[in-house]
Amino acid sequence: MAERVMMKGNEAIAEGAIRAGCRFFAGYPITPQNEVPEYMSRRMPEVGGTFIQAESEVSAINMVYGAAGAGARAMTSSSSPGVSLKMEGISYAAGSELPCVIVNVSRGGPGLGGLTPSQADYFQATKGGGHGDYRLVVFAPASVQEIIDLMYQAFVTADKYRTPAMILADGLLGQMMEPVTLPEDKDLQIPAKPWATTGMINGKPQSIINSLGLVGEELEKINVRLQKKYQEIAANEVRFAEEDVKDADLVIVAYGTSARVAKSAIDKARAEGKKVGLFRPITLWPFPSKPLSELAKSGKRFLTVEMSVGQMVEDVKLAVNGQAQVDSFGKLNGTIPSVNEVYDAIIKSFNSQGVA
Amino acid sequence: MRITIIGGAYGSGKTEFAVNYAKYLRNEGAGRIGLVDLDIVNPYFRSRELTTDLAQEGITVVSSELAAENVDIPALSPRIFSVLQDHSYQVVFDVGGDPVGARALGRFNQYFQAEPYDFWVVLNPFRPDTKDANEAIQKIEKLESAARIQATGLVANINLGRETTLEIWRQGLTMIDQTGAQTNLPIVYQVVEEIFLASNTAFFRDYPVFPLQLNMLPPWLALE
Repeated sequence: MAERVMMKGNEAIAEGAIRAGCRFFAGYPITPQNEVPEYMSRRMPEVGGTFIQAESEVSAINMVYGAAGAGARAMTSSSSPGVSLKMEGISYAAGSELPCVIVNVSRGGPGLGGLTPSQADYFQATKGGGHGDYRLVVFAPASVQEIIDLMYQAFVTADKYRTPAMILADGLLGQMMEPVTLPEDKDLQIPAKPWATTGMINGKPQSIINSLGLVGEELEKINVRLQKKYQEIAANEVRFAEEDVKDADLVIVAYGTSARVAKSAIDKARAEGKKVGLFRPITLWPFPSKPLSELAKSGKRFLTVEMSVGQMVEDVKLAVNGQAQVDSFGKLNGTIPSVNEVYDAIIKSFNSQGVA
Repeated sequence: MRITIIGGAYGSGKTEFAVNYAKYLRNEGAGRIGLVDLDIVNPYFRSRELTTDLAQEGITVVSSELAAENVDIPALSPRIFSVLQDHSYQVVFDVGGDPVGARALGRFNQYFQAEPYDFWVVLNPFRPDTKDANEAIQKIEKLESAARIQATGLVANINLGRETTLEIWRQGLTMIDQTGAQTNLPIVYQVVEEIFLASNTAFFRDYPVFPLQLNMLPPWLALE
């Protein structure tokens, strides 16, 4: 039987990665994700992998670039300001089509910000962050178990499309403890990587990894190929979860920690006969626009709940495209909204939107 | 014992137990209570978050001198000395996780040499690095070595969060029994969440029961 244990989110990030075949980690310490490198420093040698505490975030992401280029399942982990520092390297990895995983256990910003949980890195994660026309596949877990499951999914998706993937969790998810089932050791079936720079032994042709396209037409070709890949990802890799949506008049759209708080607030509103449901994007890019648009068509209204001024709400509005009213509740100051605050927002939204 | 030091592996439940134990001492009518938050490892879920609530109950939380409760600067407060030196205080140390957290105790070693103390190690067999007696004993030895004091007892904090059942408890108790037997350390308490205890009072016989109220819950569980 698979073992059931109590784990912190950050430990789950590290153990989930190891069990997904990650054998290279480079990172630089930052709260609230320090348990990730700490755990990796202990675990990587046990599985024959490599742990490096780099001299900076910039260095760490470029080490990941190198390891991924050599064919390893590689990752780095940081928190908001540290992820900002990695942005150049992430853009390079996207341009060079290198599969790797970047974890952001996000905290409050902007600037140095604070150490408390925040979801204000949504734009950075889903809208670029680095330069150029690239996309990151962004997974947003809402429980410690889902962190483990999505770490695996992130590595699989990264390899499948030769593209960087990100896990966007907030500080609370990193720090809180929940019971989880760790996956059994399985045959991971990591795909062959003939493009990796592993030398020219036995007649293997030369592999070159770069993101350079000095001739205009060639750069355009690279970009056309990248966009084709992103379209494929958008068509195949959308993930979301729904609860109590079917009969709902009002649908709360929330991810990660916010979705957990929203769920309790929804239960409270339901107990009073208010028909409220939860739509939880699990991939933030590709964003589940189609199912949201269909819900809008069927006459539902929306309220987004985020631990930011409201960033994902823009994607919800794009998806809904004027078909329904979209309200937004954003919690600032790096604190987590209470169940009652979200409940009040639900009631306010109900009243302002009137009867359907 | 005037000085009780609560240590253990990272995530074993030290802070919840330490906070509850300080409240218990208060209810028992012990004089002034000083709860020393020695967690210099991690700025989340620390007892200093409860400073205001605990102050209302007559418990002084001593942590960093740096005003905010959410900083991760590993600075210790000089006020820790005051509760150690002022014998009208009962002192409860909430130590940071793992040997790295326990090392901070070394700074106060002279007081532990001069006065008897209890050093209780909190164990949860459902944490991945203390799954069996061997791992638990290794952890205890490393804690003792880093803290430069000897453990005097074990606190059994057997749980899988909200999924704890009597069967889970029974499974976990084996590890606790073996660890106690092999280290000759008494099991001073078995920690049982109050809501769980109410329906199963007869079950918890072997060791003294410590009813626990959870203080450090995420907001969606803190509602009730």
